[in-house]
Amino acid sequence: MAAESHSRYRPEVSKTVTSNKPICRWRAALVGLQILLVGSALLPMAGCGGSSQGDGAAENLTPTQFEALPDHRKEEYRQIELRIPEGLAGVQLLPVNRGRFDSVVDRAVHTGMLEALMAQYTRALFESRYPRFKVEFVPFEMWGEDFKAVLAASLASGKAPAAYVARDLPGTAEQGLFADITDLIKGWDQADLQPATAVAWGYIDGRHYVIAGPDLGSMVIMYRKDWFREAGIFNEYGEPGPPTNWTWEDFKRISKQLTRPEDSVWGYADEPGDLGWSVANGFMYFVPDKAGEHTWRFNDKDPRLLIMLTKVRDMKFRDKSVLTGTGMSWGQWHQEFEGGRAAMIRTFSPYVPTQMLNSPYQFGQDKLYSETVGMVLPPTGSGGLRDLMPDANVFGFNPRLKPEELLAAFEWMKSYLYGETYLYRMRVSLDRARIYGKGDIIYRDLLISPYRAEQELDLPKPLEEVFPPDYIRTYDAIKGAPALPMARGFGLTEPAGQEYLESITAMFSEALADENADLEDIVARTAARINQNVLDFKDENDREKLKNFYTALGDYYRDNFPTFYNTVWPRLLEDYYKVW
Amino acid sequence: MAATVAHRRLRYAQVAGWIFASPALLVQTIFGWLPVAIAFVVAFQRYYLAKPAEWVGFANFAEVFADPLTPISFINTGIYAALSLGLTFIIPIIVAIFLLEMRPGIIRVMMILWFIPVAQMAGIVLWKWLYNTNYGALNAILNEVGIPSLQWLDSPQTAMLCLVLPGVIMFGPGLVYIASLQSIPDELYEAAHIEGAGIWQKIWYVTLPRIRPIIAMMLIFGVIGALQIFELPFIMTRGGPGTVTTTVVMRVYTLAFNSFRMDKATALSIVLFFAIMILIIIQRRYFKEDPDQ
Repeated sequence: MAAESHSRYRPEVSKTVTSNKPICRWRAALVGLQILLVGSALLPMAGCGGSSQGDGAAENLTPTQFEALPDHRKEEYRQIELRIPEGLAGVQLLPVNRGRFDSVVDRAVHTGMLEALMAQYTRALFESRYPRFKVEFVPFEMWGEDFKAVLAASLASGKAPAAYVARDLPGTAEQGLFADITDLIKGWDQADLQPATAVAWGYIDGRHYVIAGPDLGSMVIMYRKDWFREAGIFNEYGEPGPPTNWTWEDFKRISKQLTRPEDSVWGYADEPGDLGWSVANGFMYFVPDKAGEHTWRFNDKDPRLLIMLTKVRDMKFRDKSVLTGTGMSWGQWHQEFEGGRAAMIRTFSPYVPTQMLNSPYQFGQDKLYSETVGMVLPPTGSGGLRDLMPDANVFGFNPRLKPEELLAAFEWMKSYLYGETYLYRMRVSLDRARIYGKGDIIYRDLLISPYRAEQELDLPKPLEEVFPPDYIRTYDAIKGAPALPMARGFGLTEPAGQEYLESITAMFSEALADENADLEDIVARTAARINQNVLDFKDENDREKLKNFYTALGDYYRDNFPTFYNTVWPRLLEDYYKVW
Repeated sequence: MAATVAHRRLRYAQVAGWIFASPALLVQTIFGWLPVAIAFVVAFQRYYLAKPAEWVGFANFAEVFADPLTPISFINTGIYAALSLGLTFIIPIIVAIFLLEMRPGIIRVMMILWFIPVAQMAGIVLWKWLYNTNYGALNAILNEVGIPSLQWLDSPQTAMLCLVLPGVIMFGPGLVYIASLQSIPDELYEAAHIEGAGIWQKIWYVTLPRIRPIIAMMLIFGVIGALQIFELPFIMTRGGPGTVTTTVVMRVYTLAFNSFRMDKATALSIVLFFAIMILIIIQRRYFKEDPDQ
C-alpha cells in the first residue's frame, strides 16, 4: 500500500529507475547547466574584450572628420558613454512620455519646454566637440541623506555617473570616492575663482579632487522684515533689520525683543549649537597639544568655552528667545521660519534669493517676499570677527574613469559651471523672463555665481532692480570676503568629519537640554570623546607646520581684523596656540 | 536489485532536494551569510569604499573599546532593553491572560485592534511630534488641565522612556499570547478547579507553564529586537539630548554611514553580536521551555 502510494506521487521515478538513463540525463543536465552558466559568464567578457580591442583600434577623429561620416558610422564610432547626472545637465530633461504628441520632442516644442530642448542642444553641441562620447543623462540621487551609500553602491556596480556632488569631505575623498584632477585643474583658466574654503576640503596631500559649483554662498541670518519694522528695529540704511555691523550681544538682545510667547514666536531657531559665537569670537574647538603627544587637543582649557555654553543656555532658558532642541534639523528650523514661528534663522545665502524668485508670495498675497524676508551677515564678536566663509557645493569625478573619459567629464563640468551649458541656460531663462514678464531664476544664478560667465546677456533689468538692497549688499560682502587660512593648507590634518560635528552637537544638545546641567562635566566628557575619536593622531613635523599655520592666521587677522589682532590675538597665541 | 533501486531513489531525492533548495540557499548565502562572513573580514581591515583595504589586525576592536561612546551606547541599549522588555513584554502577557477571561466578543475586538497594521515609521514620526516640547499634543493636553509642559524628548531624564512608550501601543505581542492561551485545553482548568485552585493558582500553575515555550520564544525575539533598536532614536532624537539615547546600532550606523568607518562599525557590530549571543545562551540555559518540567 505504501509502495502504491509512493508510486502514485512519483510515477516517473518508478518508471525510470529501472535503467541508468535518468541518472545519465541528470548528469547531462547538470553538465549542460554548468556549461550554460560558465558560457553566459564568459560571453559578455568576450564581448567586452572585443569591444575594448575595437576601442583601442579606433582612430581619433576630429569633429570635422566625424561630421563627414555616414550616420551608421557615426553611431559605431561614438562608443564611450559619459553618464551625467540629471542634476548636472544644467537644464530640464525631455518629458518621459510623448503624451498626445507624435514624439517627446514634439511635446517639448509644442508645450514650450524651452529648457528641455536646450538640454538636447547642449548635449549635441558637446558630442560634436567630442565625437567619441555619447552623453547620457542618468537619474542619480546625490542630494539625499544616503548619498554616500548610493555613491558607494553605484561605484561598486560600475554604474556611477562621471561626476557628482562631493560631500562630507575630506573623509569621502580619503575613501577614494573621487578621481585625482590635479592636472586638469592646472590647465583651467578660472580655477582661481573657486571659493578657497569650498575646495580646501577636497585638496589632500597636494592633490585636487573637487571643483566648486556655481552657487557661491555663506552662512547668513535671514529675518522677518515686517516683524523688525513692528519692533522698531532698523539698520543704518533705515531699512527694517539688524545693523550690518551688529554684534553677538545685539543678536541676543534683538532675539529676545522679537520673541512673542503669546503668539508662539521665537526670536531665533536653530539646532543645538553655539549660535555663531565661536567664530565671531575667534574661539577654536581644537588647539595645538602643548604636551606634544598629539597635534591637537580639544580646547577645554579656554574659559570662553564655558562662557559660550552659558550664553547660549541663557538664551534658551532665561530669555526663552531660541527655539531649539533634540532632533532639530536644517529643514525643521527653516519650517519654523516659514511657518511664522521664528523671526530669524541661519541659512545658506543662495536659499534666500531662490525663495524670493520661486515663491514671491510665500508669506501671503499682501506680503512680497523681498519686502518680508531680509538677509544679513552673521553678527560680529571680538574685534569685528564674524562667521563669513564663502562656500559652494563642490563636485568630484568618478575615480574609475579612464583618462580621456575624465577629461571629457571635466569639460562637461566646465560647460555646466560657466561654459555653453551655463550660458544657454541663462539665455533660455532670459527668454522666459522676457516672454512671461516675471522674475526668473536667472537673476539668482547671476547673483550667486563666482565665475566669469560671458556677460553678453541683455538683461531686461539690472540685478539691483530685482533684489532688495540687503541681498545685494550681503552678496557683495560674500564675494569680497578674504579666504581664511586653513590648517590643512599647511600640511596639518584638520579635525573634521561627522564624528567631530556630532560630538560638538551632542555637547550643545546636552547643555541646552537642562537649565541646571553640569557644564563642566559635559565639557569633560566631550573632550574625552573628541580627543579619543577625532584627535588621536600626531602629524609629522607638526610643530613647524603649526608655526606656519598660526603665522598665516595672524597675518590674516592683522590684514582684515586689526582690532582683534591687536587686542585678542596676542593672548590667544601665547596661551593656546604657540608650541614652537 | 531492490537495494540499488532504493539507493537510486534516495540519490534522486537528494539531488532533487538540493536543486529545489538551491535558489533559496543561493539567496540566503549571497544576501545573508556572505555579508556576515565579509563583516568578520572587514573588522580586521582598514576599509575604504573605493580603495584597496589594509589589514590592521585587532586595531578596530581596540578603537571600539577605547571609544568613550562604546560603554555609553551599551548602557543606553541596556536601559532601553530593560524598559522595553518590562513594558512591552510583560504587560501584554498580563493583558492577554485577563483578556481571555472576558467575553469572546471583546477578545475578538481586541485581537482585531492588535492585528490592525500600524505604519511603523509613520507612527514613530507621529510620536515625535506628539512629544514636541513647544507645540506637541501631549503638552497641549497637560497645559489644558493646568500642568506645566514637560520636556519629553528634550530632557535627558525622560528621553529614553519616551522612546519606549510607543512600543507598548504599536508593537505589543499580545496577539501571539492570546493565540497561545486559546490552545490550552479547558480540561486543565477544570481539573485545577476541581482541585480547588483559585484564579491566581490557575494562572501560576496552568496558564504560565503552558505558554512557557511561547514566552521563551518571544523573550528571545524581544531581547534581540531591543538590543538592535535603531529606528526609534534615529527618527525621534538622533541619539540626544547629548548621547543619552545613542544605542549601539545607532552608533554602528553613524560610524558606518556618517563617519565612513565601515571597519570600526563592523567591529562594534561583532561585539554586539557576541553580546547578544551570550545573552541568548544564558537565556536558553536557565529559562526552561518545556511546560511539563
